[in-house]
Amino acid sequence: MSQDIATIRVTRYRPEKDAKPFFQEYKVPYRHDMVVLDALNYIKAEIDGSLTYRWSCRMGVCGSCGANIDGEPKLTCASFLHEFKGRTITVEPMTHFPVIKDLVVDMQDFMEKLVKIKPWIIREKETPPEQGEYKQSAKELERYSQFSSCINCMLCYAACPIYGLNEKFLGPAATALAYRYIEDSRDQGKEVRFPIVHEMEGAWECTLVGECSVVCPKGVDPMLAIQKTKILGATNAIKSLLMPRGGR
Amino acid sequence: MKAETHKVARLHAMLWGIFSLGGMIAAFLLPVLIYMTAIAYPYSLWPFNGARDPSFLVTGHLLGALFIFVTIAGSLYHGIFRFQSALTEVGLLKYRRALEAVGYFIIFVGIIVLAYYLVTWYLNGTIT
Repeated sequence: MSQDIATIRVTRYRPEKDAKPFFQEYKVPYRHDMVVLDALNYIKAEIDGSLTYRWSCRMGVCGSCGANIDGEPKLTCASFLHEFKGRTITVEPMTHFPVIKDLVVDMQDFMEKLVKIKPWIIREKETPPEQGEYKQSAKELERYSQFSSCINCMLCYAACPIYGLNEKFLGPAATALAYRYIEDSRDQGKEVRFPIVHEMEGAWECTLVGECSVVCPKGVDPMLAIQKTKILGATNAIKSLLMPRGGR
Repeated sequence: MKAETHKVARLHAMLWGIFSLGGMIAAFLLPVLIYMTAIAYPYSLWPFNGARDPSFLVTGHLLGALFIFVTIAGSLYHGIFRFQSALTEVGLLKYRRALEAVGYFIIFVGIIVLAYYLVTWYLNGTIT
């Protein structure tokens, strides 16, 4: 099989040693079926073992290998080298996150937001598995199923200009996940989750830029989830005004 | 374990509801208003047919006055609400509250003046 040569410019940064990030250029031979992650693995194995980045599954499932490729947040395992033929490919860490080393970013803030929305089924009273499953129809599943496809790759956060300006913003993936549970017919935790997503820096901070939905590698539409969350919030607020005792 | 406290933005939620629904209504009504005043009246098309001037919209019908009020007030409100989003998008978070307050004050005064003129117009058949 014929091989081409890709020129890859990768951000290098070791905060404890380097004053600021810099680019390092590598030449990588590639075949038609190779992706940017393969190139990074080639660099690490054959050229420079100090290059640091996250990856795991290599098949767009684990969500570990996100990076900014030519300025766009993408999974390195889903970006083919031949798509950039004749151009230098620039690989940078995802924007809006502190860099730990090279392409590895600090996920702490995202993880805290993810846990904050309580991404599990909440029941008023837990029943033991022997008493049977919590059943759900196909129609009920359809209401939230696309939002459960999120792989927590954080590309939507890297694409969101509002998160870049205000890190307190709950952000696309966490709101979409909260909405996924709000819409789940088995869940009884709306009273717990509603106040979290309806804080000023919850769904309301979103200004509908929509880049989150554009960059999602799994076809999730976080912008839609945020809009639907806002509609629920507005409806609830009006209900509670009209029916202060029972309008929740 | 520390209890979680969350400040629900209930007022903002209601304002967003008005922005969203009111903006949509205003967007439908605005082209009608533009057609009436900028096309139909100067070119004597329906419903004017050269006989009446656009003021009959207000002086003739309460619904007409309401139509003009909803279109203008709705558009102004939609504009100011979107303006606060634009302030966030351009990174003016620090000044957002102050600029929002100024914007809301201008819009509020504009809506009150508009309501006053429309009521006067409807009752007296002329603006005083």
